[in-house]
Order: sequence, then C-alpha cells, then structure tokens
Amino acid sequence: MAFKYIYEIYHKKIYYVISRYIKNDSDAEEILSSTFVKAFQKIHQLDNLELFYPWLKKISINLSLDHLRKNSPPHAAWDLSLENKFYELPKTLETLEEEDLLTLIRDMPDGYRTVFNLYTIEGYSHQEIADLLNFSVGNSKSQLMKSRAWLKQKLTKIYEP
Amino acid sequence: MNHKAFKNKIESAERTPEADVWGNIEKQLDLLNQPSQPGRNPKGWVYALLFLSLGLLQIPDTTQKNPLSIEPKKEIGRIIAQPDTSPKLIQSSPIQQNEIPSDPIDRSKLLETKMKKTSIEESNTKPEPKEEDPILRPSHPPMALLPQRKIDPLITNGSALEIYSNLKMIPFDLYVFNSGTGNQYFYPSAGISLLSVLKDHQIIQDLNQTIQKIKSIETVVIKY
Repeated sequence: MAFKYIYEIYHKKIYYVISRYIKNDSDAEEILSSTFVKAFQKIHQLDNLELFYPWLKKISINLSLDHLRKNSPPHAAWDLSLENKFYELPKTLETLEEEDLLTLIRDMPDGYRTVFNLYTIEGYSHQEIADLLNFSVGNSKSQLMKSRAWLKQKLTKIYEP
Repeated sequence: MNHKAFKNKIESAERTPEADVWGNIEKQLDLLNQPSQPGRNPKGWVYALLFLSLGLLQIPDTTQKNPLSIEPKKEIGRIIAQPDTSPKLIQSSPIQQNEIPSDPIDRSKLLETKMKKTSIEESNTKPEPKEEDPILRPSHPPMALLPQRKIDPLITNGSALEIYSNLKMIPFDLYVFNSGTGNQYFYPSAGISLLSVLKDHQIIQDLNQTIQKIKSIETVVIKY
C-alpha cells in the first residue's frame, strides 16, 4: 500500500521533529498520526512531489504548534537584559549524540524550546515566528536568547560538574 | 559548534515511536473513507428518490394484495418505509412516460379509488402548491423518468441511518409526489438535506422507526 510505504520512509524523521517540540511521547505520537492523516488527505494539493518531505515536516510543525498553543501557558515576557548575549550555540553541543540533543531540547521550557526549534533549526525569521505564535518580534528574540542561555547553563552543568 | 553541522545533525536524526501509530492512521483513514460520509463524495451529487405515495404505480394491479398498497386507515403524516419491493415495482411498472395521465384530476380519481374513497369532487379541489415553497416547481414526467435515474447508494441500507442521524447537508435531486394533494415537487440538486425536506412536508413523525426500517431495505420508500 502506497501510504504505508510513504509512512515507513518518513515517520521516524517526522517523529524526531515533533519530539523536539512536544515533550510528552504520547502527545507526540498522536501528532505524528495526525500529520500523516492530514498529509494523505491533502496530498493531491501538492504539485511537486519532490517537496513532499518539507511539506510533511511543515504539517507536523504546525500541528505541534497548535498543540502547544492549546496546552501551554502564555510565553514569558521579553527580558531586555538578555539582548545580544549568548549569540553563539555552546561549543559542547557537537559532542552530544542525537538522542542526548533531543533530551536536552525537550528539557527546555516550552517557550524557549519552540522559538529555539523554529529559529535555530527550521530557519524561520523572528518576524515569521512572531506571526506564527502571535506575539512580538521582541518576544521571539528574547525567547531565543533565553533558550541559548539555558542551554549553555545546562551544558556547563553536564561538562563541569 | 558550527551551526550548520548542528542543524544537519538534528535534521538527519530519527526516532521510533513506541505506539502502533500506523494502525491508528489506518483506522482514521478508514473512518474518513467510509462511503456514508456525504462530504467525501468526490462527484458531490447524490440522488435520493422519495415517493410520498406509490399508490399510482400499483394501480394496474388492484386484485392482488400488495405490500405497498395504501391502507386507508393509515394516519396522514405517518412515515412508513416499505420493504425492498419498491425498485422492482418501479422497474416493472407498465406506466410509461406517454401513458402518465396528464390531467391531475384523473390521477386523483384513481388514487381515491385505490384508497376506497368515493368523493370524486374532492379531487377537483386539490389545494394549489404553496407559493412560499422556495424551490417548488411543477414537475412534468418524473414518474416515468424515475427508473432511469441513478439511485444513489448513500441512501440505501445502513448508510441511510447515518444520513438521517448526522443531519448532514447533501446535494441531491429529489422528486416527491404527494398522493394526498396530487402535487408533484422537484427539488433540484441544491444542497438541501433530506431531513429538511421531511420537515417541509411535515412527515418527521416516527422517524426512528423509519430509520430502523430503512436500514434493511434497498431503496427508501416513504408513503403516508
């Protein structure tokens, strides 16, 4: 069956994407399921099948954000004092395995994690993130910097106990 | 860490779900693909044929006891879904288009005879169709055309139950013949719901009973 074949090819990658946004595995699996159902329903709208994976990934991210919007508390206010700090990713990240990276990302508070994923990994701009999450560009920047500060602090704890 | 290397590492990563996610997807897809969901009909057009009375079609055979015969004691407004003899009757009916009585008075006379009523005058005082019926049109030869029309599977067997119970809007062409007044109604495919038609004709009594009967027959036949 074609759908199952498609599922077999992509589901592990998509599940990793969703897991970066959603802490709870059960919720993440539910979103994984919804992602493929939605994709199979709308696949006729996709003109270029070469873009299937990015399209599928976008569906999974949107569904994850929907889930977070429904289940997370409001994002923290923008803290100006953190501006322009922690611009670079901590160097110690490169030594972490994929699973450890995921654990680290999932440990972040929801607001940090969402913006970190969208900006650092997915490549969204702050304006796009602000539009997606319905808050200000400043708040997006703030969340990103806080996430990096949080990461650095965690990594320090890991490597310099 | 090099940002690109970090991004590549993350993007190439995989994770296996513990639950049977594919099984869940299959179930959801099965539900979505059930033919009883009107919104999933790719062509979008559904034909539902309702007869408020089949008395006219039975007129040639007045000697045999027919399950579709109108019983005089039946309460007006009561819905009765008849067994699956209706399609056979429709197809085998000797009535052809050019044989349909063009004068509604004749039909009413015949109907009154069938119902063992003697008042012929009553047929001359049939009420005119209500002006407020928004899509009411005089219909020319619907009875003759009926056998040629597609009988949509959505209105047969168990799926009819869901159509009724979900009250979904479904597009369909509908012919209605009211034996009480002799009026014929044609509802073109305009997205009206079956239930709204039933409500328009005030024949929604005993709906649950009707639904149960519809589940086991081939074609919806309603008379009162």
